[in-house]
Amino acid sequence: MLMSRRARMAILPAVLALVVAGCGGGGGTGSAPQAAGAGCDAAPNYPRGPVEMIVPWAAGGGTDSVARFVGDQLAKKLDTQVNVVNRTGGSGVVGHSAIAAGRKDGSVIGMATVELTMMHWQGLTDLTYEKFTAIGMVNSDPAGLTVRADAPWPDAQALLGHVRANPGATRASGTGRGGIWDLARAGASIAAGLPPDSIRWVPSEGAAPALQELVAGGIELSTASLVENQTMIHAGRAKALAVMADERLAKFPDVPTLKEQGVDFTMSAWRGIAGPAGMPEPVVKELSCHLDAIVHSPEYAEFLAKTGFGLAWRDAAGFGAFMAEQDAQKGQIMKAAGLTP
Amino acid sequence: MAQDLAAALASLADPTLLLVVLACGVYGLFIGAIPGLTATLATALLVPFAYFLDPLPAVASIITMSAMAIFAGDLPSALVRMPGTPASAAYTEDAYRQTQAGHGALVLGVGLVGSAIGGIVGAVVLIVAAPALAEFALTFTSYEYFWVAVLGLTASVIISQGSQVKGAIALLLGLLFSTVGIDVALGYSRFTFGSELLLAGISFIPAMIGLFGLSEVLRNVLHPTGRLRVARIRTAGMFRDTFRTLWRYRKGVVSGNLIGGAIGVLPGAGGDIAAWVSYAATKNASREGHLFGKGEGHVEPVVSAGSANNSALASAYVPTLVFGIPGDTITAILLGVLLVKGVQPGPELFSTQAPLLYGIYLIFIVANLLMLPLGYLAIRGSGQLLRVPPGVLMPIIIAFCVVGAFAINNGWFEIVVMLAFGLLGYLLERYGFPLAPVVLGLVLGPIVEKNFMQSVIKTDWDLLQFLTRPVSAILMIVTVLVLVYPMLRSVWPRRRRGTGAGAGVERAVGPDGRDEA
Amino acid sequence: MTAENAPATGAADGPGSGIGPTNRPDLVAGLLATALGVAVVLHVRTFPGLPDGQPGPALFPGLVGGLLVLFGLVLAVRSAVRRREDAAGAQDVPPDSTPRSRLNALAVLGYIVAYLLLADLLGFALTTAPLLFLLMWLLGVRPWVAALSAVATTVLVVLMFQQLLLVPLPTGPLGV
Repeated sequence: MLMSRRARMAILPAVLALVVAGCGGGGGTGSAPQAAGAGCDAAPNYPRGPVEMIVPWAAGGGTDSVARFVGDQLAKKLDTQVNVVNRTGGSGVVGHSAIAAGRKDGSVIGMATVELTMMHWQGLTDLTYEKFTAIGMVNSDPAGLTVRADAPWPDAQALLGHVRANPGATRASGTGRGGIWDLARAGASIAAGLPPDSIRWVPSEGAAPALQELVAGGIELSTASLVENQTMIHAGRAKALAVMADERLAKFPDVPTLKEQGVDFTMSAWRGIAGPAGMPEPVVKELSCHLDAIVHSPEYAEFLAKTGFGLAWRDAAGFGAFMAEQDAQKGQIMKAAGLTP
Repeated sequence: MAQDLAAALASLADPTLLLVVLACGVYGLFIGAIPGLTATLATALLVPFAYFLDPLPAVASIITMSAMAIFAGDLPSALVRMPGTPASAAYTEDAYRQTQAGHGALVLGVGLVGSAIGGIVGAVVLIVAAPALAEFALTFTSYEYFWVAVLGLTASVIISQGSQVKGAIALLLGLLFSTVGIDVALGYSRFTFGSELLLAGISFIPAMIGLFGLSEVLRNVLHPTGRLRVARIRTAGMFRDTFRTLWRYRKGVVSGNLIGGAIGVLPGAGGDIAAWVSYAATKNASREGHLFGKGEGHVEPVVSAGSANNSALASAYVPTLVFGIPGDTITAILLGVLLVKGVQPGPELFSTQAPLLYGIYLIFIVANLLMLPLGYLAIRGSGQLLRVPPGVLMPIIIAFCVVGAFAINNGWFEIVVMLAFGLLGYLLERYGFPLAPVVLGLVLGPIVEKNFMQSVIKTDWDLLQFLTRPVSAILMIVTVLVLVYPMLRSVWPRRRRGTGAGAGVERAVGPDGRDEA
Repeated sequence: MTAENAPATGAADGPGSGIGPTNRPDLVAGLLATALGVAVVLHVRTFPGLPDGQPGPALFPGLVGGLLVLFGLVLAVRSAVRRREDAAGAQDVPPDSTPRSRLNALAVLGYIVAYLLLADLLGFALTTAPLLFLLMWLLGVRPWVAALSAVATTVLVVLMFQQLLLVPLPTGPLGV
């Protein structure tokens, strides 16, 4: 584990040459040594070994792919091994707890997600953002309003008008009860002057099963992010009525914001790198500096363009302040929507 | 079309691609053979490498690896009674008992060739019927999924050997354990008693390692007298016997492939459920069903369920490629890789990216053909395992159980779960309770509950919807038939005699129906 | 292994002597299942319902608990009425355990507990190799064979998981 990435790659062939040549070294070994993290070396003694990056969500999901991309880039910058480790379960509680309980020397970091500012309001844990050291926010995907392609509503106002006239008749999904997209539903309803339960929430395991229900006619609305619904939108099976962001998304320029349609409300699922509380200042500075470079690199831009994930950068201080602000906002909505115990 | 096919064939000649396929085949065999390391985990581990590859090799790496892993799950099933992947759990008992009785090479050979056939059939389903089937799968809502999961649960009633009451209690235990953690309807923490670790619930993979793996080691160590015989894996003439057996149980091959192909197409239902349902269907239909899972075990469920899981693996690509809705966890990860590669799954994939699509089809066939030689080598190699004395082998199995349980979530809690279920599994088995229903309950419990709660929340408790939606109603009728059929058969025990190929061990089915069901 | 195809040596030890001809174990198991079911049913009464008053989190576990009570009672009553379990239920009767074999089973469990306690402190390799050696030695393997197998297994696992499959193992002072 102490070996550098390149050294490890060099040993692999001795173990099982075939596997390495095909699966392992298929391109990873080919890259020339990077000018590792020029100008970011605020902590000369860091890192002293591999860095573990904890992901509170399952392999293959959105958080996981962002984390694996950033982890891979970070490994090059730090010139060490970055192990992306999925610690799933309990609506993110298990993974976030593992980050907060990690060693404070920077050898354990993780991908904190918006759920960190929600889970304690829901009564699942005592863990709050205060047990973390913010390092840098890397991505944010706003909620949307996606309906079936043949739905009768041309825009968000028409949909909300329908909801107003028939409270409880519209069914929406995208996450479990009290999840981020449930909050988007509740928050948008409140902002539109509707009772928070005027759209009925059908819990699901995530955006993909909700999308299946939407297309199959089981529900009328998905509040998941547009990137999560993009395959069906592109296939012409679903249409996006609004995005709950300040500005339109580059990948969906025709989809207006909710604000443009008269409802001043935004809600995003954000992701950022954080470590346990009390990390040494220089290490945070170094990591944040590397993240800044990664987030603004052409590779990251290409990754975002292809996957559809949204760019959102905040440095250590900015991310810390943002989490505090988010925590208050989420608490407010969850209390108003009756999602707190 | 012909042009696209030619282009796809040409792209197969790429040496990088062939190397990737070969290497990932070997990788998949290792992963699948180690209990705790699942094909899903392996796929996630492949992702960073897939990022470096072109789209076709990237997809090829995942297809080859997962196909091999699902077959390789049969190896530890047959050798040490520990399913290597959840998809093998349904027929572990039969595979193991057959190996103990000296038919190890046959069982593994059948598993291997059956897997290859299943994979190819699944790929053919994908090639021929993808758009139409995907359209059908998209009509499934929570009502239909509810019945699919209930159909799976009835499988356990059929699978249970011996006492049906004990089988039911084992199933209920599994279902009860599956409710630990955050509830679907309200997000309420159930049975966690204030523990954050229990909040995540009891995942079935460490439970499975404990129930089958650890309990087996405990049994072996506690009661060493009965087990020291060495069951050799004789690979000489393996393929001849294999094909003869497959031909004899060709009905099982067909039904396994049909069931696997059908279940795989449904988003969210994968190879493990396909294997259970196929096992139950085979046991229902077989005149030798009373021999399954006891005594020397039986090769027939390995034939059908072993094909079903690989068939489901391939047909899971149908909704993934056509609509970008993943058919199982592996294709969910593949979807992410495709997006990163700039390949947008959806109808246009079939028009604009035809060479890539045909390339994917061909890879399925190449991967499943490659499985035959690689799998044969793996079977030969694994046979050596049985020469290791138990005093050495048992501790090594424990070491792998521990590492495997840890690898699932990189946490200690999974090891504790494994330990607890190991003890539970030992005790249950000691007093005649079957273990498979516990796993089935753990796997299907959340699916049944989730879809039921979703359905009633959607419609304000209009339960009629479960019966009046056409597909839902058909699934319900099938479920009832599956439950009732064994009883009907015991009422008319002699009606269906004389059909099917003659089996060497033909034995009259007892009219009491107890053993059959 | 099953009583049917256990070898002659096993038969000499009297297979089936572990469980007597009466089915007291079934009675106990049935009552245990019933008790568990009752406990579950009582516990789920503390769960909240859905906002519209319909049953929510309690429904499914409550149902499972109820069925546990039902089937537990069936098992218990059946065991009391029928004195003897038929062959199908009692097919897996293993030979008796001995004081020695019970110690071995405890050692297997001890391995896992010790690993849980030590692996974070010492790392995977320093925990696994000695524990494997001890367990093999207890199971009657000659010391040098045990030592060799323990080290070889540890090295193999480290190479395979850490280097090849990139699955992290617990790390200690040696970095492995």
